[in-house]
Amino acid sequence: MKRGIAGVLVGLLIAAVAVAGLGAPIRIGICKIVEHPALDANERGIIDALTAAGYIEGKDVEYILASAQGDPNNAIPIAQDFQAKGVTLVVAISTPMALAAAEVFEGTGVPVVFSAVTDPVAAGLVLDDDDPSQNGNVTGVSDLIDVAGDLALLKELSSSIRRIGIVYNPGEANSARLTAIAEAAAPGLGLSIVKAIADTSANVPAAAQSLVGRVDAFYVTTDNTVVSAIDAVIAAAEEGNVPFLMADPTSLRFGPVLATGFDYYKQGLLAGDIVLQILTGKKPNQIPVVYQTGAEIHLNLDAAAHIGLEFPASLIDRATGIFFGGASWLRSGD
Amino acid sequence: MLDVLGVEKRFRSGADEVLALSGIDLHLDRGDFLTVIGSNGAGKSTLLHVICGVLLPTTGRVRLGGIDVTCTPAYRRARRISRIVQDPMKGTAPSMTVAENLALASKRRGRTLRRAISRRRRAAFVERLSDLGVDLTARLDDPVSTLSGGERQALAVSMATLSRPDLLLLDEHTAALDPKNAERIVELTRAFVEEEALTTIMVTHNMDQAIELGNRLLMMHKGQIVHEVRDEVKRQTRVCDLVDLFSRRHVVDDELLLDPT
Amino acid sequence: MGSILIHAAEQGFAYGIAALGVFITFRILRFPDLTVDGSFVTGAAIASSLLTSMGVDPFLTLAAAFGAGCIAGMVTGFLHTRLGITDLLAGVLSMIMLYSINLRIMGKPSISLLRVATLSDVVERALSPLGAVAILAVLAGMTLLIKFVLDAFFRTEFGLALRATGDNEAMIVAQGVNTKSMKVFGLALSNGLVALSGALVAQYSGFADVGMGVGTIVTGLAAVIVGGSLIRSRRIGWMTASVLVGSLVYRVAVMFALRYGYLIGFQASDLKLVTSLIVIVALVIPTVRERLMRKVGSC
Repeated sequence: MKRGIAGVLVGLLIAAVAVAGLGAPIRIGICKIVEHPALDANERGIIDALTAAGYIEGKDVEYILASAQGDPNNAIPIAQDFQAKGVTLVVAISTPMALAAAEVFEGTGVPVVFSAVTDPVAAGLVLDDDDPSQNGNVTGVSDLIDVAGDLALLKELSSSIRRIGIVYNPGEANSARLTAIAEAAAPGLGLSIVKAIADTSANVPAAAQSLVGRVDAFYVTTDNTVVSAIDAVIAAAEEGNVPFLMADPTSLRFGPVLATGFDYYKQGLLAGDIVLQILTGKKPNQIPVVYQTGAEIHLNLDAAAHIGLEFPASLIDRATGIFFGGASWLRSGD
Repeated sequence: MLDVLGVEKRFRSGADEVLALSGIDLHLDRGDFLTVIGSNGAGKSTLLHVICGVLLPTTGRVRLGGIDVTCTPAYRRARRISRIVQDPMKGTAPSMTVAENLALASKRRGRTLRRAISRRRRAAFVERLSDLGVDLTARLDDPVSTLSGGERQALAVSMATLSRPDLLLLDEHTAALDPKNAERIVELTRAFVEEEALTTIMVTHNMDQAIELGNRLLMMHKGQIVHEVRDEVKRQTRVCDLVDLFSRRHVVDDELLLDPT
Repeated sequence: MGSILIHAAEQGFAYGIAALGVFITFRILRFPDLTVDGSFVTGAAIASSLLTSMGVDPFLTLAAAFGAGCIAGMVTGFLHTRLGITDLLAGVLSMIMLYSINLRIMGKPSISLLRVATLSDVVERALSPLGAVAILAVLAGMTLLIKFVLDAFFRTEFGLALRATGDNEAMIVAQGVNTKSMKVFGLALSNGLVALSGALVAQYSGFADVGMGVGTIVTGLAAVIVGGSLIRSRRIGWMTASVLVGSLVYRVAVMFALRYGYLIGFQASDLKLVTSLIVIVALVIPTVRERLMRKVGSC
């Protein structure tokens, strides 16, 4: 009898402790460098992911939201404020915010999950994106361009596309890296890369021209030098009668035949997923950096018609946006 | 010491043009004390400005001690020319203390990183102020903005006495003061000029002053020198003579143009 | 609570050096210099580039940053004194030019110093017994040292002439001072300090960002004005002290706003509003004080 009562009491005690533990909402600090549709969507995705997994705001989890309002000087005070408020996890959207959070929470054991960071390794946030074991308390989602995906897209356009021309500035770290990734991924897709170097905007036209007749398609990533002289690349592509893919959907109307970009809400969901993994016991240094795939596809039917190209139906089905008849059309329901 | 040769100064051009100075020829020997009188707009201050470099002449040349300074910037000429202006507010630095102002005037070139107000310098200031009879020794650390107009002007004169300029320019420097203070400043000035035998030009509205002080007198009207007396003739000149000259100027302008003597 | 105050004080001193720079141009020279929004980043850019690419000693990067800031100030000075461009415009032009130059120095919009030995790391290691106040002690020490050196400088013959240039330019010209050179010197000194501050802040924050200079003039002025209304003295030693006090008060106010602001519905996005409110309050305090004293009279 005594054992029975003792057992029930212990059981009740454990239950009480468990309930008490469950009772205190987890504090999560979410900060971003500026209010911006992409970053706001990112934030919403994170919160939605947690809500969908059963973490109800106010009950299970408490969010402290902050924005640096475009001033990097606010990043550190915000992170320090999070620390003073005793957050158990930090989500930092954008590179400067992630850097500040990583600096403030270094060695504290509080996990820092970043989102919308283009190159986490170059930024020094993590040591290795594949092997997270040395990354300390930092991990997250990167919006680095899915180069392999873009190349596959070009291949899908037409079976005759083999040689991809890339105009780039090796002086831009991001651009150089993306070009290297392209060169590594191409063979696996049965493609080859032909490079043309333009170290200043003034040299872009010459570089683009040099590729005419030597490539079946042009590809431009987020290279500031080339993007500032993008007309020259568009002209070269038209001259060679070949398609041109640009990794930036907002410039579709200016001439690229197709463009790709990321849905930041989906990126938020990916980041939220990482947060869930950590909340259920995984450590940041057990989670490798996630590179978003599945970029949005935007098609410029006018430009395509110009070079006599017809998009395969499979592509049109997956397109998020279409530029046709001089106007942009977005697929509804997104 | 000072040569002003054929100086002309025009402001603006075309229909708005103002001929502030015209045909000014002036020669000062070392030790001359020249007083300058004239109606408003006669060009008295403009002449001083051209001499010290605040304004550049349209034509003509200015020579100081034999050296042509016509195009030398004002700050460089200031190393040899001291100036006391009419507005007491303009001659001193308001947010700085009496001692700091004196320190600023202590050196006219080559300011170093040495402490500006050393104990020795401070004592020197106190001594200088009491020598001059200027009652500011108790207010060395007060900002100049708390001084009255008379006190500020006394300070300006004291500052001028800290170096021995080649030329001293006084631009109606007692005009903004009440009679008692004006009297004091005039005395201070006279003592300083006499002691150092300074070459001086004093612009004034006060005809008594003009007659009493200095060995030379100039009368200006509409940018030109119209009358000049010196030494013995100047000593004999009376205020009524000057007043006479003035009224003749104003009434018979044309006559003078035809007969420039 | 203690840690927030320590952090606020750290930033109060680090940014306080930039405030001293703004004080020199704004209060002493009476020259509204907007170059600082650019030169602050220049300091951060130089320091972080040197640290990441050449592993230069953190203290040396501060000297390099100071030098770069001086050059930036001299450019503004040249535009104003030699080309006759008005003060505000000259500063704006320099600031705009610096934006491109800073990007060139950095090579990218943002440089991380997380994996590099910065001043913070050196200090934490060297002064580990001081624990949480180690960095505060070093920042405070550096800032106070700079303040006292400035005070001594402004009491020299040269420093006095610089002060007079802003106080009554015509008068000091008549005392033989080349005020054009003085202005260039003042701008150089000021921007040198601002750049030094930028280099310190970058190392403190663990990163340099090309946008971190925006608003430097505003936060600098906030410190000068807030400090000036708390300590109303015209003596140079007290004036520089008031600038630092203003900087500290400002940072503490921001920290409190962040921490407790949510109680009155304040969000992190209202930080800029808070800055302006603090400055307005500071500007109004002297007037209110005066009115309260006058209540004894008839009005």
